[in-house]
Order: sequence, then structure tokens, then C-alpha cells
Amino acid sequence: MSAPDLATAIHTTLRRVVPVAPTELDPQAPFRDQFEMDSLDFLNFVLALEKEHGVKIPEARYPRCASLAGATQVLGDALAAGATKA
Amino acid sequence: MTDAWVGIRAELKAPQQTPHNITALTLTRHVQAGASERVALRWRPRSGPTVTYTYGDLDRAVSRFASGLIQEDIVEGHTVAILAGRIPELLVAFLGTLRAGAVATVLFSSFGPEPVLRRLQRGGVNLLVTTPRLYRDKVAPIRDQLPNLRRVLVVDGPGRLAALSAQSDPPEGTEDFGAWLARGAPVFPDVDVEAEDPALLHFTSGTTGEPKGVVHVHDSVLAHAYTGKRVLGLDAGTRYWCTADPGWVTGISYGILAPLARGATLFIDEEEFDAERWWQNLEAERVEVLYTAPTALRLLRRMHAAGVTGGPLPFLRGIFSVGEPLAHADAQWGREAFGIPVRDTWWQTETGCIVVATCWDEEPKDGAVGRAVPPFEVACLHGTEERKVVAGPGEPGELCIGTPWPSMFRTYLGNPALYARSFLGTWYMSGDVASLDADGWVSFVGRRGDVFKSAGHLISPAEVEDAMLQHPGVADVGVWGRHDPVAGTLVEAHVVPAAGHEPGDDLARDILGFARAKLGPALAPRTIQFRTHLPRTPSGKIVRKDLGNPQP
Repeated sequence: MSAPDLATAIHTTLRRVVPVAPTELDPQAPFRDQFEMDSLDFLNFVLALEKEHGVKIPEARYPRCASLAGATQVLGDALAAGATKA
Repeated sequence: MTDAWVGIRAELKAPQQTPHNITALTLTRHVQAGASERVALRWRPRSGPTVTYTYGDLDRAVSRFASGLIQEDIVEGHTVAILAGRIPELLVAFLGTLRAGAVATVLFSSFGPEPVLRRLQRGGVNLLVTTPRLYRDKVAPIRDQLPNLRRVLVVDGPGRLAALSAQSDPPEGTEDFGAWLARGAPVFPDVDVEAEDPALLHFTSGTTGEPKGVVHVHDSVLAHAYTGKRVLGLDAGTRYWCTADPGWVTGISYGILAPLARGATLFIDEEEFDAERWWQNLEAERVEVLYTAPTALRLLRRMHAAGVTGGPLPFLRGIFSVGEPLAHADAQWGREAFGIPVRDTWWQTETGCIVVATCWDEEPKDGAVGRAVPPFEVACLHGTEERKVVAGPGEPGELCIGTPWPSMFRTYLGNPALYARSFLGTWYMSGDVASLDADGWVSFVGRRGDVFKSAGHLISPAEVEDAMLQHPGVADVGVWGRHDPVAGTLVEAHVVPAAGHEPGDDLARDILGFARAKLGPALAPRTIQFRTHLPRTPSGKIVRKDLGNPQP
């Protein structure tokens, strides 16, 4: 998946898990500066990304998933790592 | 008041003329004793370096805020609300309100517009301190329903208590908090209140949709000061971190009042939970005493298993937990990860202070929260409504507390009948079901009535249901808790769809989004189950405990 497609997929997941997430997001800004997202929302969001894409995101990289650009990078890396193993 | 509390009062007595105001004990006492330069607060903003405020800094800003209130004639009998995240201005407005003799209430910033409206209305709030964003999202849409609300002050760019000029163009209908402080007087005395004058208003969830306004008096600070020392082991200069948000009672009683009354140095992080950042905080701030919740411990534990941890914490000497009983596995993990036991505490908004605990100098007992903190007396009562008796060792009953004590609530705002029903003779009936063993160790079983806890916070299903019923796709709804490995219990809605609305992912998403926008993340359901009907009693009341996944 290309980076823009990946970002779109992540945005869709985000809006499903946190229904108040807006349709327009600043990819570089933290989600928490753009809408209300608590710790449980955040955890559910990362777990949903793992489930939907069949990857394991290392817990140490969770904090990087706090923006759209960061999450795209982390998920891209996780997908690449999965592909290497296969 | 028992002799024991009289002795405690004598020990803590402030040395000046106006001894009853909460700020006499939490600020003035230290400044008069020459401790103005002691650090009161270390505040870590969401981004950027941690900022230090001394007792003197806090005292001056609090005076400025208080003198402004007096000029506006917001005094005894008036109420000031604060709706903000964890920023220094929250402490300034909160303590400044008390210094001026008015009543302070802090609302959780994660509440949506509906819970905010109910609480501001119920409290008859006259002045509100908030941020431009929270004002725009949560207050502006409901402002016309708040006739008592005279003024709104907004904090734009928090943390600059000394830079007092106006920083921004505040939204229409609001004023800049910094400009307000700039007009105030840096030295202003504590207003001379009576010990029994109302000071604090906390909202807690009731079995109806209306939140209960729990009122505490200025004298309550004696109980915070006492338990801060007896239970948590706080002293002058103790580096202390209470992770609770001031929107909940723990964040006030033990996030602000107890540590300041003891002259401790409190640490506040503006950011939401982040495991890596928490380890950094514990290490960098050389935290000595931590007061947190099982949900946070479970999140830390989960990340710890994946290698997110920090360096050694040689200064950490006490970890305490509150909100829901600490699970054995979490307690055990805590002991291994931190090298010291995690000690449990129990209390309620109504009790105002810790009542049952494993104190800092006691070894925890598996399966028990702790024992009644002297001079508290507790008993479990069971039997019929008409005749209650003290339960034997190990037998469950409603946990009751011998009255009175300084931070016992003094009424439910606007509902004295409900207040009266909370007492049986000299006992306050907590509504929590527990058992006591022969040595007085207390174990909790559950809660009476239609409320439950999620992530340690009491939730009223009726309040959530009221908001959800406004969605056109919802014909009927029952809300209850659902077990979750991290939160312990999550809010779940059981929805009977209205005619013409197809149950499915689309409708679920739409209803969840609707509820979330109205209620905010603290109250909104996280999942939906569609049903054809709800379990009801013959009189039509929802049997929430039959909605599945009952509380342990």
C-alpha cells in the first residue's frame, strides 16, 4: 500500500474507533491537539491498526502513533517487517 | 467531633487570625513560616520544559485571582467553576476562589457539552475559568442556558503566572485570564470564613441521570492534611505525584489540598497517560510518593512487559492506588517492577478523604484494601431496611462509617432528602458492599444501586441513557459495564433500534459518534449491542445487572 493509501486507511480506522475525529486532519499535529482522545481511545486505535493490518506494532513505538504521519510511518515499518519475515 | 479530631485540629492549627479558610492552611501558613521559596509545584506542559512555581509564586497569583473576585462581588454564597486540563491556572483559580470565600468546583475537561451544562446549571455557577478551545467546544453552545454565569475567563497559553499582560484575543463573551490576574492585588488576605462554610462542590454520579452535587466545608482540609501524612506519608518538601485529574475528587483532595497542606512539592503533567513519559517523570522528578489508579498500573504493566521501562527509582518510597480494588496480579507486578509494595486506599466523593487504607508504614494484606485509618470507625451492616445489624467477620454488608469527621459531606446540593437517607443513626452508609475480617481488614464486594465504575470513575447509566435517547435511531437503551482487561470495566450500551433503523455497523457508528459528541470520552459508551428488548422489572425499570457482563 502506498503511503497516501495507508494514511487514508489509518484515518478510517481512527474515525471508527474515535467517532469524534474530524474528516480533515493535520497529518503532522498530534491527534490530541485536534480533537478529544483519551488513553483508552489511543490504545484501542493502535490495537485496531494491528488487527486490521495483521501486524504487531512494538509497544515502544506506540507513542509515535499519536499523529497521522507518525502512525503511517509506524504502520508502514510494521508491514515491511512482516513482509521481510514472510 | 471525636477527641482524636480535636487533637489533630490543635496540631495543624494555623498561627494567624483567620484559621478556617482552606488557603490559610495550604498557602498562608507556609508563607508566614518563611517557606515562600519552597517549591510548591513542578508543572510539565504537554511540550517544552518543566516549570517551577514556589509557594510564594502560587500565593501571589492566588491573591490576584481572589482580589478580582471580591471586586466583582463574587464572594461567599457564589460559585466558581473551572473547566480545564491539568494547568497551573486551574490551581490558581481553585485556591483563589477559596481564599475569596466562594465555593469552587472543578469539572473534568473530558466531559462533553451535556454533562458540562448539567453541572454548571446544578451548581448555579457565577464565574467560569476555562480555555478558548474548551469554551468554543463545550460552553459557547450552551451559554444561553446559564443565566447565573456572569463572566468567563479563558487561559490561552497556560503556565505564565508571572507574565500578566493580556496574551490574546479571547473569544467573544470571554476575558483573558492573564489580564484578570494583572488587575488583581499580589497580596490579599484569606477571607475570614467559618469552619462550617461551604468551600468545595464535587459532582458525582447518582442512580438518576442528575449528577449529585456533594458539598464540603472549609474545615475538611484538616482531614486532607491529616490523611496526607498518616496514610501517604507526605511531609514538607516531599516530592509527590498524584496522577488523578482535578476533575475527579482525588485530583482535588490529594492532587492539591493534602500535599499543599503538608508543604509538599507536587508534580503535575499536562499530558495524558504515556508509559514512556511516566517513567521519565518518576525518574527526572525523583518522585518519592506516587498516588495513582489500577487502570494506570495495568497500562504501565502492559507496556513494561514489552520493554517500556525506565532507570532505577531510588527515591520512590510509596505507591498508593485508588478508584477500584487493586487486583492481585497488578499489586504483585507493582512490587516486582518498583521494588516496593503498592498500597490500596478506599474513599468516596462523599467522605472527602481516605477512610480505609494500607498506610505507608503497613504491609499490605492480599485481597484487602486496608483497615479503617484511625480515628475512623467502620462497620459492615446487613439485614432488612427496617432492621440492620453489624455483620460478623467475613460476612458481607454495607460499609458504614462512624460520623462525624471534618471532610464528611454536608449536603447534596438541592437534595437534602437524599442526604438524610445516606445516614442511619450515627452511621454514614457508603453504598459499597464489603466485609471485615477479625483484624479489621476490609475487602470490597461491589456496589449497591444502579451505578458502576469505569477506569476508577463512578458512572451513572441513567445520565448516559438520557443523552443516547436523543438519537433518532434509539428506541430504548440500557447502559451497563462490560469487562475490559485494561479499563477494568468499559461503558457499554444495549440499544433497541427505532423502527426504520437497521441495526448494524453503520447505525452503531452513528449512535456512538452522537453519544461521544454529547457526553465526551469520560462518559460515552465504547461499544453497542443491539437488542430486540431490554430486561425490565414488572414496574418497567431496566434490570441493568441483567444486561450481561455483570460487575465482579
